Amino acid sequence: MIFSSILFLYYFLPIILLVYFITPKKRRNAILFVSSLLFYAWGEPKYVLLMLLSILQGYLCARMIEKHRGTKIAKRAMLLSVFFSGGSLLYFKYADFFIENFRSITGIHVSLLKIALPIGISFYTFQLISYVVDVYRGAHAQTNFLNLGAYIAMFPQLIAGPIIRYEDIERQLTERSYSFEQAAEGICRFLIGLAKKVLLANQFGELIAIFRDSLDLSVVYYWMYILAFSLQIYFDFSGYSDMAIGLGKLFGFEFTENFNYPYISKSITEFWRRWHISLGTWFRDYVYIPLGGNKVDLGRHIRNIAIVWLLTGFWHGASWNFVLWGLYFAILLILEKYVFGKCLEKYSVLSHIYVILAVLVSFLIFNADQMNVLVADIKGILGIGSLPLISAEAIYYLKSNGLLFVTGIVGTTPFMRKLMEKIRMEKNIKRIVNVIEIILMIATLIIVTAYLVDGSFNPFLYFRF
Amino acid sequence: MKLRGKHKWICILFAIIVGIGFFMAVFYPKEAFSFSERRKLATKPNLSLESYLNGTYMKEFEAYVVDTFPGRDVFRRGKALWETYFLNKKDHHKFYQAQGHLVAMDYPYHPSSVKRASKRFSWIMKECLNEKNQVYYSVIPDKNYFLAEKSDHLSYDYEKLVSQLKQEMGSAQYIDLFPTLSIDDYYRTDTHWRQEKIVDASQKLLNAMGVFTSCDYEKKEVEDPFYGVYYGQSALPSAGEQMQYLLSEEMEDVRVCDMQNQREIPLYDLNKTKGKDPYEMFTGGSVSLVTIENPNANTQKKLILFRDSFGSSIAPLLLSGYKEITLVDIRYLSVYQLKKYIEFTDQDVLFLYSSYVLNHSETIK
Repeated sequence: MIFSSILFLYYFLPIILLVYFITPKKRRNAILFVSSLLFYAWGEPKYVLLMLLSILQGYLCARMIEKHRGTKIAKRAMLLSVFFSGGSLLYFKYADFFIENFRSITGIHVSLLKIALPIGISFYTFQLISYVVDVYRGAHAQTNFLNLGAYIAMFPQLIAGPIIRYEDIERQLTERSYSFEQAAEGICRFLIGLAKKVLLANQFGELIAIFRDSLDLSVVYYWMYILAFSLQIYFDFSGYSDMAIGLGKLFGFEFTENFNYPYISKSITEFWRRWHISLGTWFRDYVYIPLGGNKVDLGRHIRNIAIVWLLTGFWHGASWNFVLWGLYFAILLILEKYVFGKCLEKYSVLSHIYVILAVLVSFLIFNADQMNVLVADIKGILGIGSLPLISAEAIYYLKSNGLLFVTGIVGTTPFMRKLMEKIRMEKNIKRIVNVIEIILMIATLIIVTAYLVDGSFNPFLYFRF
Repeated sequence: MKLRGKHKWICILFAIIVGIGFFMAVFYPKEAFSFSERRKLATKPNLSLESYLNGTYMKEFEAYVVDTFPGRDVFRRGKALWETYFLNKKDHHKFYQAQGHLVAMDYPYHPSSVKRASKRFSWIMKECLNEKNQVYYSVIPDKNYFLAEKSDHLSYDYEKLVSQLKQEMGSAQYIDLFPTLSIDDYYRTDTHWRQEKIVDASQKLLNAMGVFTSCDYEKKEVEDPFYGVYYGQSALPSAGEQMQYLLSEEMEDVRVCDMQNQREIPLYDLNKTKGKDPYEMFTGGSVSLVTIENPNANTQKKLILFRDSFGSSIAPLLLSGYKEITLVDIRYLSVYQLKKYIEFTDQDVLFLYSSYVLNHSETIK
């Protein structure tokens, strides 16, 4: 089930909210856990057991770690749990990738497993690993299985994050407060995310589908494509994070932020501090720092960056383009650290242009599932070959989607947020603004509903990771 | 409004809308058919272990809740207006408005599709027809041909389509209807031409096929306003329009037979003007095989008309030159079955197809 669907908005959500709030506070985690299982079972009926088993092993191993803290048993329990979580991720997500490459290198025929990727496995296994490692490092193990289940399987962030660290949510699992203010903020955040997804990301997605089917390609059309894809992936993923954070607030939780206007960055280092923050933080805390981080010699530091970014790339998908994508960022980050990082600080405009171009190229790699597609896309962007500069189709879709692009580009900057903050400061119009904000929120819900009723193009990009 | 009040109102209004949406979605009576979209709506699927485990139940249920959501047509209309007038998009689901017409933006050109159609036609010419049959073909331009360039929309080169057909149709004679037709000859909310406006087109076809007769027609009006197929599909607003049909003296005695269902039918079935597709009122609508016998004809000539839905409305206007017209729709009847139902002797044969069907010929069997 996805948030941007009639089923979720008008069937699942009202029922769950009603049941949740009429249930005594003590039992609410159980409701959250059960509803999350139902939510998951709707999309992945076969893999609910796998998720339950994963949670159970995490629960038991963490209890064992706490019981035998400081001993070898604790370490073994931690490793066992990490092995289970990592192993299931490797098996379900990467087995066929390794088999395919083994076949092409050795020529030995091994049948592919053709296992469907369980939705959200990359996210919930990372949460489980963070939980068990945090307990090993000193956090208290969760004694109540339902509480742990509610944390790992919590439907607002189960499918596509943000990856919530156990230490960030531990207290909220047992003590959380509810208020109109928090609920209203949650609703607004949810609706903003919904609008990002349905009104922007999906529209860019439709445009990309048209481009991919086109026989009237041109250099400008390629640039439009990569701009559209960069905007689609941003609004898709940040929209999902907004919805998750908003729903979390509705249920009394405060999740960590996952995006902070990444496209205004002045370096790729900064970009990754603003894009998919929870994943970056996870890799920093559970891979980069344990490897020694930057407190090592130059060679090992470069190695550490390369390992983290290869893993980051690989986390996004079992395909070489994701490995290449990770490597691409590793090179840029190393260059920024040791070659031209200081220059970027001096030239603000140039550094913005550099980041935008570097990110656009990165998404060419990201979205090319085959090498020949990537080569064709790069040729198209650079105008290599017999492509015309512009084509009738490119002109048409640029004209037709002009406002969509402008809205999208403005939406990637904090302009609107700052404008709203300024307006809210004006005492004379504060009350009117409050009324307008309510009307806008309701209008957003109605417009999104219209799109959902009419449309069928609605996949979340990050579901496949 | 104070901040606290604002928060309360947001919560209350959200709860009301989502709550009402829930009750309406669950308890509101469900429609089985969408007249505006002219399609059956998804029905509630049956739950079984198999359909649950393989995911079909969930997919079908989601389609069902979307299809039967209360106020579906209003929401679709709202979205179309939002995209057209607020976002200023040039088309909505590849439909656009120009000169008061709703138009489907047929683009790009699919030579492989035209090839597929011409291959079917060629097969018929080779396997079913003989040297006594005079074979003609013609293309009816879709509305995009007239309006795309003027309204800055995408269209393909229609000359390419015609020249491809000319190359692939062998010795068959091409009848050019492009200069005869204009956008005013079409319904504003529909893909089809208006029967009362295509008398000159029918004359052109008849003359090209060696028939030189003329006929006086009396215009009749259909009572209900006509909302064409584009009206519902585009969800864009448009007023209903007057539907007309033409009668002549010799039409009074014609005998029309729906061979597919083995029954006699009226030349114009006015009951169908109240149904899901009023354009089906002409010569039985979308049926595979129809014969029209004209006992008042001054000739023994017969015509076999391979056609799409445009052929239904022009067929009565060709009656003045033929004793019998057989309408064949190979979208519903496989070409390999033709000899079973039609005796090919010395009839004139006309392949009359809209550019849209030729450019999307996957429906031709």
